[in-house]
Amino acid sequence: MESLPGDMLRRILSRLSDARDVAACSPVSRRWREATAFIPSIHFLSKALQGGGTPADADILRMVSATASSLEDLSIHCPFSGRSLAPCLALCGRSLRSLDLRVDFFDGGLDCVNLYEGNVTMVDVGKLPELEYLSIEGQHWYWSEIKTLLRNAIEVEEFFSNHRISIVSKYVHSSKWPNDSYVGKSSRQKVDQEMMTYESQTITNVGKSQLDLHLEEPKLEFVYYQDLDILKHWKNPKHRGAHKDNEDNASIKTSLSMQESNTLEEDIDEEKGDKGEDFDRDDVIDEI
Amino acid sequence: MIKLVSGDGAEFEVEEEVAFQSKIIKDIVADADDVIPLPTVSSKVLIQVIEYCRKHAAVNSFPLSPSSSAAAAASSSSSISYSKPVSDPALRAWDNEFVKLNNSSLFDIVIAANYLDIEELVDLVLETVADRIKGKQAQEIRRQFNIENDFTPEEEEALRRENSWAFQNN
Repeated sequence: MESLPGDMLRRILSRLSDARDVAACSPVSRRWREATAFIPSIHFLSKALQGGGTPADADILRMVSATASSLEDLSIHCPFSGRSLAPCLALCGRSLRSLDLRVDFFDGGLDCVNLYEGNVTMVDVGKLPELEYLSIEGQHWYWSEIKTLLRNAIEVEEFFSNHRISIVSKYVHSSKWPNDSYVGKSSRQKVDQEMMTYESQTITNVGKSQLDLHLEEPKLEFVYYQDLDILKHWKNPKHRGAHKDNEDNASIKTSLSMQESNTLEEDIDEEKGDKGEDFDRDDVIDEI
Repeated sequence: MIKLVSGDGAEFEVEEEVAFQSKIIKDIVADADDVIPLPTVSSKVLIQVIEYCRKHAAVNSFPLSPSSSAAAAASSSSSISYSKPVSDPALRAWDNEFVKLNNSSLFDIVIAANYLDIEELVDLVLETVADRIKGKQAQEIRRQFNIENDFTPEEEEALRRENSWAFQNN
């Protein structure tokens, strides 16, 4: 590794995007620390996908500041306070091409940027000259909120017609939107794009998707796994085989672990059913 | 046929379409010779690189099916992409086998591929190395790639504290 030219090391590290990987590389050596400054993509994943450690506002600001001149793609899906967002974008805004935020106005330790703690103008689109793609994911969206979140109405309207925007929301209050097509079209684009990326990452060397491979794995026999804690089982990297540990797979794993738990549950039903014991399926599901 | 001469003097005859996977060789052949000395590339590495080029030349000579070329076009249009994924699953499988090598062999190949300007091979190797970094902590990365820690103990402690959030409860 030490014999590789510096630009090769930079190109290798540029392929990392998970903030944890970036955090692991900078203490390796001086050369690596310098190379991490050129990483263009940093994703702070949600708490569930981080698998434990969560960055504080200061950690996020420090990492953004360390890569500020080259950062093109930032996503924050972990708890982050609204008051830190503006300084964060001030650091990297000039180079940013893609910004992906999970945002909410409610307090209470949500896995998102908490706007409740901040001032009203969060994303000043006028100071993000290179921005091509913006995704704001939240629980509820009203157009008036988007206007306060972004800078001002005229600029925002203009911005919407010139950029790829995705406003993802559990409840889109569409009657409040000046033009529904902004939301619909853009989120559709985003879904298509994510599907393409997902497929390109997960088709494995036998031409099957990782999901297919997962499904072909043998069922766990209940007799041997009576004490199995399904969440611990999936967290243990040994059981993940050769699967890449990325965000898409982690979400699949969540759904798979539910499937797996269904077979366990059936086993439990069979056993308990024979003995005529009363057994509450929902409790098992809740526990899982 | 084109003759490639490795740094240790071994000669390798390869077909044009194989050698032309390297843009540099294509340029050299266009205005000069059919015997190309590659003084910085050892025969061990050159054999591996030729193997890769032979496979890719064979696959690339068939036109892509419409569906896979559409997929390739779509994925390359995403806003930030570093490498085009190889769309043919069989070739991808072959690539995955090809890079099952130790780190120093991979580095030799990537230096040669970079010198010969075989962009796909450079991407393949860099991606493989990046995958070997993912999910590891600094100490494991140093061990795996044989890197010397050149920080003072105080600096290291400060860095460890700065990045400690990433490794809690793992």
